[in-house]
Amino acid sequence: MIEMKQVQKHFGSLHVLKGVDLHVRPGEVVVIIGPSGSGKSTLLRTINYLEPIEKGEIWVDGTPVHQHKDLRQVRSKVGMVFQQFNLFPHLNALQNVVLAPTLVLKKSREEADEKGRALLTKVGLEQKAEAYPGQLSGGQQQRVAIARALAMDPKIMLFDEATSALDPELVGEVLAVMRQLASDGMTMVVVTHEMGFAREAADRVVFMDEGVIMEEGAPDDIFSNPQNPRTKQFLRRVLEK
Amino acid sequence: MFDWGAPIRNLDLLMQGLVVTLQVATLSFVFAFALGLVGALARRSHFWPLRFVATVYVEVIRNTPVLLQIFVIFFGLPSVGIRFDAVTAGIIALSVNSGAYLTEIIRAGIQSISRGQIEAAIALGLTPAQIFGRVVFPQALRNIYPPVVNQFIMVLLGSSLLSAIAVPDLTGNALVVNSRTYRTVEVFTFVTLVYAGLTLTASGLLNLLGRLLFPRATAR
Ligand SMILES: Nc1ncnc2c1ncn2[C@@H]1O[C@H](COP(=O)(O)OP(=O)(O)O)[C@@H](O)[C@H]1O
Ligand SMILES: [Mg+2]
Repeated sequence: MIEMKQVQKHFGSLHVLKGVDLHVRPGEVVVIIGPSGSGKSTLLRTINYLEPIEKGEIWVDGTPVHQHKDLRQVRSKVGMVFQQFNLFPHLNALQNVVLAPTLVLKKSREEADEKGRALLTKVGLEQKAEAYPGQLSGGQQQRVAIARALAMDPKIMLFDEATSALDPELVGEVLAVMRQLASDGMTMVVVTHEMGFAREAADRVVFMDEGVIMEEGAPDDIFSNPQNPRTKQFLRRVLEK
Repeated sequence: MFDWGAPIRNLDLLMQGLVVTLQVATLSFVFAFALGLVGALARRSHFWPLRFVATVYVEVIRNTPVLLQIFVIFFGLPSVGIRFDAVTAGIIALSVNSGAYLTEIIRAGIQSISRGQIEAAIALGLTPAQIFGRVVFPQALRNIYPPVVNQFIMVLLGSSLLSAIAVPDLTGNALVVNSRTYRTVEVFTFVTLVYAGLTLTASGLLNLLGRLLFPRATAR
C-alpha cells in the first residue's frame, strides 16, 4: 500500500531523512515512535507529499508520488490527522466533514451530508454536527478531524501525534476512535508517544532516530526485547514516566 | 442672522448630490476591493515581476496626495489621449487609491491564516483555487472585516474631493448652493451633518452585516 525506498530529505543543511525504507501492507497498522526531532513528522508528511523529497521513491497505492504524479488524487485517498487538528474554524463540524467530498469527489450535497452525519455518529459527535470548532473541546475537534479525513473514503490514514495537543483526560476518546479504525481494517501510519496504543493496536512498531529507522518489529518484540541500544534507551526514558 | 432655510430650500439639489456620492463611493469601493484582491495575490506571487509591480503600485499611491492622483487621471491622462468624464475619472481615481490600501489590508488578512489550515486543505486534495476560495479567503475576510469597513468609510468621505474636478456629488452641489445663496456657514454645516449621518449609518449597517456573516462562534 505504501512503499518507501531510500527516502532522503534535507531542511537546508539539516539531513532529516537519511535513506528511509518503509513498507506498509494493506490493513496494516504501523506505529512510528522515536525522540522528538528524529524526523517522524517529516517522514509521515512525505507520504502525501506535503514535504517534497530529494532522493528515493515513494509509491502510494501504485502511484509514484516522488514523480509528482496525480498528487491531488493520491492526497484524496490518504487521510491525514494533525496534532493541531486544523479544523476550518469558519465551518461547523458537518461542513468541515462534507467540504472535500463535495469539492473533490463531486458528491451531491445530500449524499455528502448523509455520509457526514454517519461519520460524526461513528466518532460519537452526532449531537455536535452544527457546532463550530471554537465551541468544541480539543478531543471533540480531533474526532471531527478524523471524521473529515474519513469522509474521503481514504485507503490510508496518517496520524501525526493526534493526541499530543490534548488535555490528558481527552486523550482516551481520540485513541478509542483510532483503535476502532484499526480494528475495522484501515491501513494506518501513526506517529505517537502513546506507548499503550502502540503496544495494543500496532501490527508493527518502527523506532526512528536521527533520520533513520533504527529498529522495527512486532510490538511485543520491540517493547519487551529491543535489540538496538538507542531503542532500549528511548523506551527506558518514555516508559518510566 | 443665520438663515437655515438656505440649505433646506435647495434640498433637492443637495439630495441629488448625496445620491451621486453614494453611487460613486459604492462603485469605487467595489472596484477598489477587486484591485486590492488582485494586488494582494500579486504581492504574494512567486513570480517576482508581479510582486514588483504590485509593490510599486502600493508605494506610489500611499506616498502621494489623493487630490493629485485625481488631477493626474482627470487632467493628466487626456494629454496622452485618454479622456474620461469627471464622474468616471473620479471613480477610477478613488478605486486606484483605495485599492492600494486594500492590497495591504487583504495581504495581511491572507497572511494571518496559519500554514496548518492550508496543509489540511492540501491533504484533503483541494485545488489551489478551492483552497483560496473556500478556506483562506473566507477566514481572511473575517479577520480584516473592520479595516475593510473603515476603507469604505474613507472612500465615502474621500469622494468629497471629487468636487475639485466638478463632480456633482454632495460637496460639489453644496458648492453650487453656496455660490447661489452665499449662506456658507449654514450650507456647509448642514452638509457636514449629512456626511456624519451617512458614515454613522453606513458603519452601523456594515457592522451588523459583519455580525451576520461572521458569527462569534466561528472565531478561532
Ligand atoms: N519546515 C522545516 N524547516 C526547517 N526545519 C524543519 C522543518 N520541519 C522540521 N524541521 C526540522 O527537522 C527535524 C525533524 O523534524 P520532525 O520531522 O518534525 O521531527 P519529529 O516529528 O520526529 O519530532 C527537526 O530538527 C526539525 O527542527
Ligand atoms: Mg513531530
